[in-house]
Amino acid sequence: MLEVRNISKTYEDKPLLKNISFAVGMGETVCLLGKSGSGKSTLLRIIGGLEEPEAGQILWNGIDLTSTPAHLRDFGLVFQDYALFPHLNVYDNIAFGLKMRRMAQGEIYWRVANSLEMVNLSGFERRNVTDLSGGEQQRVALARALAPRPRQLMFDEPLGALDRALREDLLNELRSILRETDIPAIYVTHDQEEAFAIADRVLILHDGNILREGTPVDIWANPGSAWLAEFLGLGNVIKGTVIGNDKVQTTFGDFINDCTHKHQRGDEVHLLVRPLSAEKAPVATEGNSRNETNLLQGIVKDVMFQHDRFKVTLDNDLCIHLSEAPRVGQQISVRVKVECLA
Amino acid sequence: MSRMKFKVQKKNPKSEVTYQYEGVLLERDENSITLEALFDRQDIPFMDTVLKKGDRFVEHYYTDRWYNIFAVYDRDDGMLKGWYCNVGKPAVIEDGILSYVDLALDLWVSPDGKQTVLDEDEFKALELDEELKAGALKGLDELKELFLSKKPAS
Repeated sequence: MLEVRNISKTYEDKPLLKNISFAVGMGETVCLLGKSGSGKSTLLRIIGGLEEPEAGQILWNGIDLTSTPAHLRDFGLVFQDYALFPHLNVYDNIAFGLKMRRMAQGEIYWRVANSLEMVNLSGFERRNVTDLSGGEQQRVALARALAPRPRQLMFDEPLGALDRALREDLLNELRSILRETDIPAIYVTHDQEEAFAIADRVLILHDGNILREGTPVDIWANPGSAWLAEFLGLGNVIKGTVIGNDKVQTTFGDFINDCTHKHQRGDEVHLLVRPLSAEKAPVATEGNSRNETNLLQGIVKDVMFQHDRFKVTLDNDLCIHLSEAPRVGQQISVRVKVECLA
Repeated sequence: MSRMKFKVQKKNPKSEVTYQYEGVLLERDENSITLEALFDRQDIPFMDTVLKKGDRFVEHYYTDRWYNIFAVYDRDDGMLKGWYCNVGKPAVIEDGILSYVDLALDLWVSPDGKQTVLDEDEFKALELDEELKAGALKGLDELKELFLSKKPAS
């Protein structure tokens, strides 16, 4: 089992990773999710042995690997740019690492064939990698990572260079390969949809720390901070002041929520309004809106059709989803549920 | 999509490979690996059954136990024929090759739970050192106990 213990690293004299610790369980896929510059790729390279940490350890089953060179760690790596040898054909690209291990010819031959089968490229052995599409090249890179039967797989934005439809296909295949082989994996991405689709557990990297850690469902339901709710694009984040009894005053009106944070009167808080939590309320007039809570009001600025609903943007830049399209320019009022982000 | 395969090497106490075959990976855990392999020899009567070419072996190997367990299913009707257990040194996975040193002793368990120890003479003839002998006998005892208490993973 892989354990990352107290890893620190600075970049241009600024701390990039601050005392990072986590473990990856057997068969588990852990996603490191963060913006570019959050240090997630550096952390992956440190785990893989391609960079050295300034402090901390990388352990496998309790044994310190920190000074073990990358090729002896028995980890399989897949990068965004595939990193294939352009002058070698598919077979030789996959066989390269196996030859380095002085494996017998016959063993190499069937390993390459089995690895190509796993990524749906049977029979591609003699093809030139430069003649392959991006998706095919990434499959070859994946086959190459699988061929030595690594004890850990590591991915650095593996789908970053592919177009959307291809990304989804490859992501699904990757999911089933990870599930079927039980190989634990660390998957680095800045794309939250990708992370949530493939991860058993997501680690959010921000300001050099693990800001939040949990299952995709858990993180989605409880982002726990305004920054994360905004990064994940969960909805409208509204700043307000507690005015008593779970009541929060904001520039958009007063809101009530049943948060458990035990705020004091006067505390500054952030509320999350998920677009899907909206239901259309009768258009409020000046008279009755004053005492009503949990209403978002505004003039419709834009209506966009999205699958089975409409994404409605108001003149105050709030965004909600409605099942029926209002007119642009119409004054509307919708009742929403809010969540306190602390 | 095809599954990952592993090569299995059966070795003698001198660490020479005596037999090798491929298995498809079914499950992997911290200390165990489960493969599926098809019996690739000619039909052979064995105990109270017949092992047929193409019978399905679901093989459980352990890196911390002195035995492995093969659940044997019939090629034609899928019925469990029994468990074939090899006593040997704990399995080792190196460079993606799974190997174990076979120490001759075997235990056959019928579906009704009846246990038969096989190849005891062969085991004695190996003239193993005390450490290996003790490990093998401990492995055999654990196996017997395992099948008495409950049926293992099939």
